[in-house]
Amino acid sequence: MSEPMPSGPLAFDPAAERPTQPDPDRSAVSAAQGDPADFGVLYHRYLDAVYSYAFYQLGDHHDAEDATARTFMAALRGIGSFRNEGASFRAWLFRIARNTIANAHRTRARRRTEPMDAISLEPPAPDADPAGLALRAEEARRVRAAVIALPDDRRQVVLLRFADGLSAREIGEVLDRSEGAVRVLLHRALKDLAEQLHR
Amino acid sequence: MADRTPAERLDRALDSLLTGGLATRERELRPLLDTADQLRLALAPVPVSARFEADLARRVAAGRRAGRFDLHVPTWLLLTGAVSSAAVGVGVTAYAVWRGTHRSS
Repeated sequence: MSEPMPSGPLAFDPAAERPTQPDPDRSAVSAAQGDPADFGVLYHRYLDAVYSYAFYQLGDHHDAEDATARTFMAALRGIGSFRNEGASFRAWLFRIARNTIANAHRTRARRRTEPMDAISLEPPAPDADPAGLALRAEEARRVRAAVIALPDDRRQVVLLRFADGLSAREIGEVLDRSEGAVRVLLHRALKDLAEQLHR
Repeated sequence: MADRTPAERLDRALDSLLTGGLATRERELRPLLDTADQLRLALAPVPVSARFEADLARRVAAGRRAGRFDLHVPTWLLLTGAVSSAAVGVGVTAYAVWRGTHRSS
């Protein structure tokens, strides 16, 4: 199944106060558009970020791998039509990922999925203090559960900002919102989370 | 230009937090930045398995080869092929109809 490609110029806030940053991927994108063999640079640069974004939303390694693969194959097919005007390659890629993950949510079978907050993300270091590890794991589990419970738009903003490091402008490009709207969403999401976590 | 809204000031402070910079001294933002720090730790990058990374790299490489083939097939050649196929189909059908008509009469 092919994933929907973002079409037309992505959302761009002309009233944004901060100067537009040059797209750090511009040269790699140009190279990939000239010769698809160069797409590997972009693949290796964003594999972890796209996978994390998928995993934190789907809560399952298998589904996250499938969504990640679909995202990169769709990006490879569409790289020739990407235009670096107003939106960065990273935002474009995450927009494909977002559409892919939304499709996965809609179509995946109703099989049992281990809840995200129950998954151990990294094996503990052999010499780590078990009590401290357990405390940190429990804390992280609580935080992820609170993120999952957020309304969809706030959850998206939090994941893109903290799991993937996108700026408010880039998140706006992914979600089709203005930079100002993203900042407000993020502010509200953090207030909600602060209230829940420090109750 | 000075930031005007709490949302803008928070966003600036997050930029600093996420790039390892100095924390803001604004008391109003402290609880939100404490939460942001919890989020930063809880939403750490998820490691990709080496098997998956290698498998997908192979698929991407195969896709790249297919893409290169597509680039080297000129559009005019594809169009010519499609039009020729259609013309042959129409011709054969017309001939079959003509033959059928003449036999039955």
